[in-house]
Amino acid sequence: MSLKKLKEELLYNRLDYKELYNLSPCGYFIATPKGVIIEANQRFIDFTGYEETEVMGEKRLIDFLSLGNKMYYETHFLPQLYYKGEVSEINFEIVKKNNDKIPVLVNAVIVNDKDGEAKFMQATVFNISQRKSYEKELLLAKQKADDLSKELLSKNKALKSHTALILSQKKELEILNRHLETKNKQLSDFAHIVSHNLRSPVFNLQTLLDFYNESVNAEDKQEVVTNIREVANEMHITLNELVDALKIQEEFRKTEDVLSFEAILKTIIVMVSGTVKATQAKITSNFSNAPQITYSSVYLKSAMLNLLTNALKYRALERTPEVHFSTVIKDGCIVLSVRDNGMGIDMKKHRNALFGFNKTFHEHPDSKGLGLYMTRLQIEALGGKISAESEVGLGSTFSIRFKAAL
Amino acid sequence: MKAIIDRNNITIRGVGNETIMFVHGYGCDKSMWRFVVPSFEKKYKIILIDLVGSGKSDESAYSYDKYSSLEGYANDILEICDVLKLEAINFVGHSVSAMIGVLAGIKQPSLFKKMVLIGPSPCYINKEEYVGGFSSEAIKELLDTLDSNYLGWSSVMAPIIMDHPDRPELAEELEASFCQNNPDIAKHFARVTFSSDNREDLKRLNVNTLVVQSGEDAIAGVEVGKYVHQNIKGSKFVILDTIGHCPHLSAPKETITALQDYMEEDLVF
Repeated sequence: MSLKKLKEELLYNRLDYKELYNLSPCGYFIATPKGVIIEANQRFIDFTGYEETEVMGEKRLIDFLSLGNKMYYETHFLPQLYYKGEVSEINFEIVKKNNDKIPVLVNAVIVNDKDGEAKFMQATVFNISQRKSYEKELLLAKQKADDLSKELLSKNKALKSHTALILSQKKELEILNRHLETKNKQLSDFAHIVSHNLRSPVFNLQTLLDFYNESVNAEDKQEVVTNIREVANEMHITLNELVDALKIQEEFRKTEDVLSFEAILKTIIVMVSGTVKATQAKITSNFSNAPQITYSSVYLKSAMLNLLTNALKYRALERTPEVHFSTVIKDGCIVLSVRDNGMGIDMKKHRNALFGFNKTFHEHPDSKGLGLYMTRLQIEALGGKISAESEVGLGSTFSIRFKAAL
Repeated sequence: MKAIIDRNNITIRGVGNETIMFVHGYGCDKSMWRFVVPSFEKKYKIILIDLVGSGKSDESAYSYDKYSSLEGYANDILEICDVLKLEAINFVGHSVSAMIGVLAGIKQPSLFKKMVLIGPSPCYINKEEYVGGFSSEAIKELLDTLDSNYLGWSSVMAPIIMDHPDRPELAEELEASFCQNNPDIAKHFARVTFSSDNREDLKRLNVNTLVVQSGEDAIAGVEVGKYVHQNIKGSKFVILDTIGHCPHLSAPKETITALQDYMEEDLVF
């Protein structure tokens, strides 16, 4: 059929534009610039459920909206319409006279007169009931997806914090492990100190007992008994110190006190009094440059005792042994030196092995090679250093450089 | 200073010894003043701002904690005045920003010469004797309406706004972004705005104030406007023959006249 024929048929059926307007599948209205509806098609009137006379000249679009929609109308719809002259695809719900609701999509424009003043507001209103129910499903699905995503995020977060926890626990374990290793080493140090530090006085006691047996007059015997008592006392004190250190259960080598070199020297001389007596050794000291040190009492005593017993043990048999203790301050560190006139060590041969384990450098029957090694371990454990100078036949000087804590 | 200017997308224009600061209401941004500002910029220095979370403010500055009450916005106003060294300003606040202005005015009354509150409501929800016009269900409805009208923001506007803030040829398209704010923030702001109750604060304001009421306003009706006027000491009240919550958009001429009459009362040029 030709277009002309179709139009003729339209006329024949009295379908004019008015009817087209009224029956078109979308609502349509014209309002004053203030929004009062002055003309609307039948479709729009039907949407509202009101009588035509109740709408025309009486109602505005906002009057058909729920409260929440009204808020949106005032804060979004109208501002946009006035600002841009048009607003499109706004989703409202029209509340019908019988309180039923139909979701609609509204497009609106402002029509201006020649002077640019707003003349009318025109709007088309589409029923989107089916689309809306689908959209609601979509919104629900989106909400679900959002919730899931949030849940995932929070799970992820929890996982991350767990990982962090495990890492920190691992770190703690490592620290604990290191702590145990240190403890273990301390215990083995401790065992060494105990055995070594008790050897000297025990040997000393044997020497004193020999003296006792050899002595003929009562006065001499009495003196030796006094010496024996002193040695026993010192042994007692040393034992107590070691036991205390164990009891405290902390790193005993780190329990530091302010110690007087002079006082420590006095105690260790007592511990080897038998040997001193037998060898008639001359022990001198000068601590005036650094009379005191903050250090572990067990370790200092142990170190000085070792150096003294070494000096006496490896004395030159052809002369009276002389041992001199002294302190100086060098580069902010206290240095303790023990100089003897003993047999000396061949440094060229032994320098590197001097402080090693089970090394002996003398043909001495008592030499166990443990003392210097242990002294070195103890000194180094507290951040210090030990070194030696020696010449065969002239004597040796051992120096302990303590860590820089004055 | 730059940080604050960027945060609130501040523009300064116009000439004059006196300053007017215009602050937009919920759902919009500073461009809503465009029909009004030209009538003032020859006599006044004009400060236009976007509230944080609205318009082209710095969205990253939006803290859900800070802006969980209008106080957060009021502090921003004071901060802006401080940074820009503004004194004795004329403050024009629309809708929720009317209340934001009231809170700022209570904190620092000396900062404000005059205050114009357009479409203010101290409380949108009905409470006992007080009729704010809404119920909490209405707010829920508004949030749903926001939800069903986000299409424009998320798919069309966001890329334009986000990607090319510095391309002038997009200015026109940007203009199309009017009133398109980040959905999550818009919802939060809606909740904060429409559930606020600042009725007690009105009595504490000591600033010369004009309440501009639209003849018909579904958001803040005439009774609410009167309530505001009656509770602010010495305030003036004018009802415009306008319809709608945004008379500065729907009836700029009437709005301009009301503003001019009030601000020029004792102004000598």
